[in-house]
Amino acid sequence: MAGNQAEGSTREEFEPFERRAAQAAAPVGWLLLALSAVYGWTVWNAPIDSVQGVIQKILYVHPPLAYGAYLGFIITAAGGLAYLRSDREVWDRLAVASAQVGVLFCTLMMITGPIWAKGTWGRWWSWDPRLTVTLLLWFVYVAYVVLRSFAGPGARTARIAAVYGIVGVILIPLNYFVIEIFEARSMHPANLEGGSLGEGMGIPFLMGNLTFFVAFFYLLLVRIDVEALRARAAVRAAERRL
Amino acid sequence: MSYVVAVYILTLGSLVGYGIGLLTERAALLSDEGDEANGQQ
Repeated sequence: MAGNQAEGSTREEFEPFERRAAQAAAPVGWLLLALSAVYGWTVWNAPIDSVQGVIQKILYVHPPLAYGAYLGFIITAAGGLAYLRSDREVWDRLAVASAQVGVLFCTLMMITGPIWAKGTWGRWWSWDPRLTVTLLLWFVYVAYVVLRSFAGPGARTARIAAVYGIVGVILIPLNYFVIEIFEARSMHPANLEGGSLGEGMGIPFLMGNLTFFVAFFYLLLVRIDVEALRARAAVRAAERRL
Repeated sequence: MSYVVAVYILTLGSLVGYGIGLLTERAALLSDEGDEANGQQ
């Protein structure tokens, strides 16, 4: 799955963190394949909800995508913080890689949510507090990724992006707890600690979260490797020009 | 049922597609490195 390393190419010049990430990608990929099979089986055999019907099975996709997005943006903030403290580019590359994977998860969450809403609420979108904050979160990190792709390399860009990523992460606790804050005005069900999960849905939900968590890390590890290889290619290109 | 199928195909297809894209880009970068290393020898 992850063993297509070209002959003669090594990662000895990589930062230790990036070298370990590259080494971890293959075993995490195999773990993901195994988990995916179990995940598919548990979702297929999960009970049909008596109120929503089969559409409730979107539960095993939609919240795991949200948690993956949260994780991506938290790692982006952590990478930015580490960069500000150390000035080491490896942490900036981690922040960028994590934001990209986080935006993928967040985008899929923003697509799957309205599909579920159409089937249960009868409309694609509502200015529900959580939907509104999630849309804002998505805008913030799409802007991060787009601006990083246009801004080019440089310490100044990395520092500004680090601060932006750290400030943006404030939206995550707000997004999670907005249901409690606007309890009466939210169409979303209560958070899990509120006991909103039906009987027999715990295991598939757990498997969904575990599988998407591992999928997030697999994609992040490969993304980190790609970022490191791109950086090394840029250094070689600069050396050739001298 | 069609909504559920659409969600699963869209989500899993996107994640797999993104993963394949990353692996392809990584293979291309490694191949370029290998070509450069061979050219220098």
